[in-house]
Amino acid sequence: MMLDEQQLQKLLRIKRFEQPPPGYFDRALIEFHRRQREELLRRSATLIWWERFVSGLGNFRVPSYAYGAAFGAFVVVATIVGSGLWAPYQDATDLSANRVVLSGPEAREVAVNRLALSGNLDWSTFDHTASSPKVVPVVRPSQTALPRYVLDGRPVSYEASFSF
Amino acid sequence: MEEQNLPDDETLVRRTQNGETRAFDLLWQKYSPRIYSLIYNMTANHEDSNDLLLEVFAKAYRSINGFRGKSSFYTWIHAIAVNMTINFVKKRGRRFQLSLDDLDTNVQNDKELIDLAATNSPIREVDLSELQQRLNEAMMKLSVEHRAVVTMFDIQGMPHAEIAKILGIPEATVRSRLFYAHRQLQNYLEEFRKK
Amino acid sequence: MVEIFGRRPIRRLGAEALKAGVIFFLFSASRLFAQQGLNSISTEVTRVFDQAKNAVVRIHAEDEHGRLAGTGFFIDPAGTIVTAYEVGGESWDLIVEFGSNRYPAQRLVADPRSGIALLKVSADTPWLSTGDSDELKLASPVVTIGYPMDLSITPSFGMIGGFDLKYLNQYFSTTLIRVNIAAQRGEAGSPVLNLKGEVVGILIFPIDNRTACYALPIKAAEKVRTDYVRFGEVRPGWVGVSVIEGDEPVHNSTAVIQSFAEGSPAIDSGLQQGDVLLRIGTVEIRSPPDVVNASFFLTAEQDVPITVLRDGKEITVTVTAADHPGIVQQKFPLFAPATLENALRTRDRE
Repeated sequence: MMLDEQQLQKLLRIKRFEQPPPGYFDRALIEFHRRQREELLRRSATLIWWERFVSGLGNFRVPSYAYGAAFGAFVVVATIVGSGLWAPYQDATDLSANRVVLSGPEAREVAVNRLALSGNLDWSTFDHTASSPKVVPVVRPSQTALPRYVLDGRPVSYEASFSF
Repeated sequence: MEEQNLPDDETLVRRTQNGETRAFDLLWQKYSPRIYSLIYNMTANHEDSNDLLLEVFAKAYRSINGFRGKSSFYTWIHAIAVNMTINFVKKRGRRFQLSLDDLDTNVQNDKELIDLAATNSPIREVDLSELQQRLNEAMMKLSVEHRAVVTMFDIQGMPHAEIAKILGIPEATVRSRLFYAHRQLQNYLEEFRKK
Repeated sequence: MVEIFGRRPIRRLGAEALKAGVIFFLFSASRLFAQQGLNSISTEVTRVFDQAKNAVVRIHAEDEHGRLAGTGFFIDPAGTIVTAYEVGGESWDLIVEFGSNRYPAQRLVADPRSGIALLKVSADTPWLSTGDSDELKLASPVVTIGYPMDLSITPSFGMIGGFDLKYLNQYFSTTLIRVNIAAQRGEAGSPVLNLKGEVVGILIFPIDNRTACYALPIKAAEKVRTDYVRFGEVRPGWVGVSVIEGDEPVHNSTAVIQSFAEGSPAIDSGLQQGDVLLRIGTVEIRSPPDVVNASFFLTAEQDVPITVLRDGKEITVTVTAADHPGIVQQKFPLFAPATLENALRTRDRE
């Protein structure tokens, strides 16, 4: 007697119950994050941005005249910059960073004032002896949102089986 | 899994595209069990499934900015998973091990399963774990493309149309693959019964 | 007759009254003692909390998901902090908040195997003394102190529910303490204190919908700290012995040596296939899973005595453990100067 279609389907449905152990998906998510972090460290942020940008571009169809227009714009900008009519980035250097790199005592004063406004850092305990420049954490605007309150993680064993 | 309160996929995708990584975690929460099951039933190996699951989601995360909602996220992530698994299985060739020892104990107590093994099944003498193993071996004898269709239709219960979209093939092809795969499975299991 | 019959009930009545009196006395006494017992537990717990709370800190940091917050505590007066790996192991911009101050912190060491990280602030700090986690017993009362969510410092009281090496079929790296305390988010890294006010564990992760949690015994954290103090890093050791379950226990142990890894220190150690393991370092071995626990406490380049039973005789050999081949090369996040130093040191050593 042959297994009929219905019996086969019933048998296959049983395979739904083959599931990984409880908690697996939460642990796998942690592992996923870990690998993402590793990847992040391997490749620079710019590269990722570029990759995302390019994959985003994949969905556009660029009309052919756009290439011409872009080239035209490039020529105009190049001419202006090249002729020295306008030089960007001369006085805007310290506006962009949200991490402040300091070296001298005056600079530290600036940072302390800034921290007095935003955070509550106690500078008396900060190690000033290390070589400059220092990277100073500054409380950023995004920090008004709630942080992620941590209660997670699991020690990992290095043992594949019962060995030492 | 707290699925009941999850925002819809479209919102989650948009939020991920805007750089909110937690939104992607929610997509993980929603889809990782399904995707795992899909991969696992195509590879029959938990370790490989674990690796592939992570790779599939990594790839989805990397390319989510290119996702413009022409298909649903559901279809999109399933398509990534099926394609990556097919490539993996083809590369792996015949070197693989079935890893079925850690079956959920629920399986052993499932009513439907016990009924099937005990009543008018042609394979009632077989104990449940042997039945499972036999079925998996039969599955692994199918080509990976056929296995994908059987997994999505019979195990995951997707409609033909959805499978067609995921695989990018006509619905008629899905039906014919299913028909052929079922016949093959029936033959393999019949051989086993005779032994 | 009447008198006799009449007296008896009276005498009986007296006896009944006496009995009732005694019962009442015993009952109220027990109530009183119980009340006193409760009072004294309450006093103890309050005392432990008051004593320890100043050494418990809230830790703020940032990782790739954004800002995070957890708990930690000082273990010496020089500002060394123990916290959970998830809080301080891979994050950056670490800020430690205690009292009304916030201090930038450095990461000294991060150890995923034990699930903890050590941080440091440059300040004189209060600290918690460490207790003996081996002395804990089932049902020992414990207090945890942490910072759940954005709430103020919070004590919890519970008891030891178990000592587990395995949970839902997964082995830990060492035996963890199961604490019957419902932990809340933000409390990872909280100290688990005995009623003497000593730290006996570090809260690592919750189980079963946060109805209970696992804590790393302080002994395991001390191994990490000692390694750091001695070598500037954690040095898991390895001998290279595989163990299987024997048929019958011999001297209470079923752990039988099965094989030696190629190129491992075990090869010329004098250990033999078929030896029954009794002790590795200070860890008693009763069954194969015990070696996982023993393995945690091995230190690379350190001698470890191993006692086995061969032909009915106990033999102890000393083996110098090697670097654990399973150790994952740490990837250090940016802006964590202390660990970058460590990373460089590790690199130089190779």
